[in-house]
Amino acid sequence: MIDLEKLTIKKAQGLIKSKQISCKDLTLAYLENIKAKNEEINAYLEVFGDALKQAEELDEKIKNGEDVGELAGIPLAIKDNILIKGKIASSASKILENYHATYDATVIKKLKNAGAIFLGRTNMDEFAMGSSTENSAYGATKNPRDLERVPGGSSGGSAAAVAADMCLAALGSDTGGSIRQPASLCGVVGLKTTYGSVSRYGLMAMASSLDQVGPLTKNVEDAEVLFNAIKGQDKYDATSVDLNKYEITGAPSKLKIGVLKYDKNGVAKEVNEAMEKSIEEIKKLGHEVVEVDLQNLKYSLPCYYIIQPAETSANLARFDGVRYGLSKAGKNIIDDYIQTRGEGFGKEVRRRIMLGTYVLSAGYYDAFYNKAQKVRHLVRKDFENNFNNGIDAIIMPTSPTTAFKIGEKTDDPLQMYLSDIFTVSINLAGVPALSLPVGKDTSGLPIGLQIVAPWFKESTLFLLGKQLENATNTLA
Amino acid sequence: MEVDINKLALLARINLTEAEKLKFKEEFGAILGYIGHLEEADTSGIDDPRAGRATIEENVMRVDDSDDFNKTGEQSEVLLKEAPSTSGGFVKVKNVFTK
Repeated sequence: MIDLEKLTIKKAQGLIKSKQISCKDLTLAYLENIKAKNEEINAYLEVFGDALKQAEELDEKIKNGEDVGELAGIPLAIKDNILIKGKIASSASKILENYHATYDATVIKKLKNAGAIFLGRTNMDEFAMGSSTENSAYGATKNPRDLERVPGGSSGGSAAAVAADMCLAALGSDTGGSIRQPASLCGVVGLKTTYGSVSRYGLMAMASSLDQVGPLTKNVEDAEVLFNAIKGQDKYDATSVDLNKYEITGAPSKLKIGVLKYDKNGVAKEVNEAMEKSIEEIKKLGHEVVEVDLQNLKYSLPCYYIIQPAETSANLARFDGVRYGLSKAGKNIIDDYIQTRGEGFGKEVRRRIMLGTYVLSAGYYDAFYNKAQKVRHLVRKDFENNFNNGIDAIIMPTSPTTAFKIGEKTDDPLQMYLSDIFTVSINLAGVPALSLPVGKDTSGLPIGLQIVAPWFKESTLFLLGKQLENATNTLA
Repeated sequence: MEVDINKLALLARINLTEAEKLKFKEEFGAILGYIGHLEEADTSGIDDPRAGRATIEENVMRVDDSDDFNKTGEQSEVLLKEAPSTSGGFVKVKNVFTK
């Protein structure tokens, strides 16, 4: 029997390499766990029937001494908006219920070449719009730490699958917090990568100037392993860059950490306390701690809710019932679009497309969209100024609260949007950020801490993250 | 802020029921009120809205080459299989212009 609870990618790699377990054993253990838990948690929309066969083929290759890749036999879960050739990719939407991906996303191609096994596709808020996974057209995912609560979102299925040992690690996407917030609420590690460091080719576009693919894992080291496996320039994503030119590895051993000044009244008491404890721990580690102010942070959420719906309304125009997906017949071709989109898109997706259409429409474009672009510049400058002044990383809560109850915020979109108050500025600025569990509240719900580093300095996140992780055992 | 939901729904190509229109209108009021706070941000001195761009300033060039994506023509069939309506190797759509 494999102890899945304590297993990490690093450990599994060792066990497979030393032939203590086979790829088949490991995949089987996860498939059994999924079978036992998924009906209740609803983390997976589909479990792939060929996972076990892939594992057996890998075992055969290992037996024959063939080269099997760095991630051979590592069972992963993939968010339903990342394309795996031949598999359904629905973005948890009715409009793509029967859509089969016609090619592999670049991140999938890289993971396949590294020998990883895909267990299935995970639930999410439809087209990654949401903070609770309740916007899925296929039912909400439940938080494995408390089944009456949400796992966060939009990568809630991926976070829940990692937290419930229904996979060893997962991929998600992060446009305004969709990896970090669910990681925080489920008590796992989530990494939002620097804009341009990981290819988005084959990730269904939501807001292209914000979207990034990243890992959800059980510890920081695994996040680093997966990041290294998926990163790199891709000619099919013109926004991806040559990391040899930009990536900065090897963080200094003594860091200058900026603690974000924020309104403590807007954040749960126990989250504030966990922040304080983390600060003490960072000091004990020998790092310098100073308070920092991001003056335009208060504008980041309204700014985000202009730019993101604007880009969404353009990106989702492709779903018209002509080339793929649901198609409904109307009176004429325009009416076909209207009927198809009206029926195929869920409420939140329609809301955001309408909002985006509004802020881009004649007469409002300058007041909303252009203004938001200028504010985005200010938000980025705030980070830049701090980093230029010698700050190595900035810490803040990932989420203002721990996991909230299912149904608690579904009737109030604005309240739901506020769940991302600490995460959206990072996407606006394009910097990398890591959420890691640093404690629990009195109900036993996980609390996440967010570390933000300068562009292409994921190395700082991994260094500080690992140190804090080791210290977390001593945190309450 | 007055929002013409009917016009917006038409522009967005989205069908809404009357009940949904009412609900959206109410929610839009709250959301637009919130994002309206941006007005308070001092953006004087930033003339070019492109200042907010996310990408690194760098020209990206590549050969205009289809690689092996569809060398054998197989991919055309894979793509056509996903289309709701096809005819003779084409995606079929209704008339765009009417007589």
